[in-house]
Amino acid sequence: MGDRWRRIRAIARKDAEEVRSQPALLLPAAAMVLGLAVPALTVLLVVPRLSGESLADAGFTDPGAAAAAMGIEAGRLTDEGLAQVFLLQQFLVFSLLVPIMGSLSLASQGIIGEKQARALEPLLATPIRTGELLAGKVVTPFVLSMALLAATFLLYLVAMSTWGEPGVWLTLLGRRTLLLFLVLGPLVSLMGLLAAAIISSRVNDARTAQQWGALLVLPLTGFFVAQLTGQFLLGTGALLVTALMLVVVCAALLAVGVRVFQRETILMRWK
Amino acid sequence: MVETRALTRRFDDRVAVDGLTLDVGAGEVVSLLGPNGAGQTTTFRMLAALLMPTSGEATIAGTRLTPSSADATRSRVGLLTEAPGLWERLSVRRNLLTYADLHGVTDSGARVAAVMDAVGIADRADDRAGALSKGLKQRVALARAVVHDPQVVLLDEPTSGLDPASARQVRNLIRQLRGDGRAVLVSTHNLSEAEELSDRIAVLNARLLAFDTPRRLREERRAAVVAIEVEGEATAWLRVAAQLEGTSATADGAVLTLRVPDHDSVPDIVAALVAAGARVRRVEPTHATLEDAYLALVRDDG
Repeated sequence: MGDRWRRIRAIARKDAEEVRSQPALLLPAAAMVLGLAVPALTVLLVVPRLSGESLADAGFTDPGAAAAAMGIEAGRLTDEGLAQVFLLQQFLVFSLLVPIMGSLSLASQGIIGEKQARALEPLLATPIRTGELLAGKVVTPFVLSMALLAATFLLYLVAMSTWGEPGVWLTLLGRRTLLLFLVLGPLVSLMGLLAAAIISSRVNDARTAQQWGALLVLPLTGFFVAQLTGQFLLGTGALLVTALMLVVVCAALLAVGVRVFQRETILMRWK
Repeated sequence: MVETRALTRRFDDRVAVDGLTLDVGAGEVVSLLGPNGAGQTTTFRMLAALLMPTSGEATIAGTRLTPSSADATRSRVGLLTEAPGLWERLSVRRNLLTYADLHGVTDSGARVAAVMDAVGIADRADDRAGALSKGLKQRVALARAVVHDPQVVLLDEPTSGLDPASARQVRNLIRQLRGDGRAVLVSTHNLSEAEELSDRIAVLNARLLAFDTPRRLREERRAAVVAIEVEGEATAWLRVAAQLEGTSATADGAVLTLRVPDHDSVPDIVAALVAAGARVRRVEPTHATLEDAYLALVRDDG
């Protein structure tokens, strides 16, 4: 292993051990997995059973057409199945909150923790380079965020395959869902990490950083509400465009992040 | 091992270090003394390749400090920062192993065991760093500074805030570093510690005011300090003493302590005091301490 990877691994491993020593750090993000999935699954699976009214009768405008507009191959689903698919896809978009909030929470804690412990100066006195330090600081939060996102996916998959209409769970393995979880998930996580790194350079309290970072959630909430009210539907193409936009945003944030992670900047300007 | 020539660092309009020229050899301890904000920390940061000088040059362990040589320089320098800066939730061993990995130490486990043994913390290796006393934390930080076997060690206020026993242990470790042939630079406000530890002392106030052995620094100032015992309260004669050119005086009971330009001026001072009506009982050069020398240097610098 080259020196560069060894240094990145050293920082990532250290951060992982710090998280392991205080598992409570993971609680907010883990709670968000349940906080998003449980209400969604309640609406999809429990409420129709309790109320005796099916989702298909709830007045959605042609869920089959909506599913088709989102690029979902609905196949031979029942009307109830189509309505479940339609609603499930709305909730899946909201699952992207998990990697955003997980990244923000863990990364801001990790960076501000170094500031509070006054551990940055000795760290910078080693041969570690700016990019390596930034990379090392994002690895652990990224991996954990992805694990939480995977847990969210599995939760939906298990619930829908067990209690959903026949065939609905298969749509979770379709292009749109995989694009959400395998492309947009990592990108929004990266965006959250870079935003946390930049914000953390300017504040001394992890909660303040998380509050600023939470602004990233607003566009996602907007998407969710707009989709649910039928303003527009995010199909596969729109998701790809969103992914490209996120790549650009991440590149811009990375450029700023590398600047704020310069040794002299950290030593002289980080307050 | 360390050589600086006209080393200067500016922050906007403020000059933090101004034309610093000094050298530190292998197996030598040099202390940096100076008031708060005199540039010691900035000097250390430049020598540790954390900050680049605005002008001037520094050569550390044979490598001239430039942006491109900064990584190599950092491998050869060990820095003990003012605060230990440990990862408090991690064990002592994990703290040190991380730094060993960052420095690319081969067989890091064995090296970490060796430095923990050297600083006397081997029995606390698996304890959380946050559970240690301040003195032990400082020892861990010292172990961290040398885990990569650097040729140059920079110690920023290594005994600050430690109890006397812990401070003594840290001083012994510094002697050990010198014994290992490393060049050691220590920033401290503890003058007796500087005198006890240092082969040479640099007095800084942004610029270098003096750089010599503790004995020579004291001796240079010795002839220029004189104690004059008079009858009655010495404060009565402060005004007369102060009128003499280049002289400053303090009074304590019957003793006037004067800092004078040179030894030859003492008869004139005594004559002036007698002419003004003072009855002089005793005149003697005092044993100037390092503190006298330091305070005079800083005061003269304005």
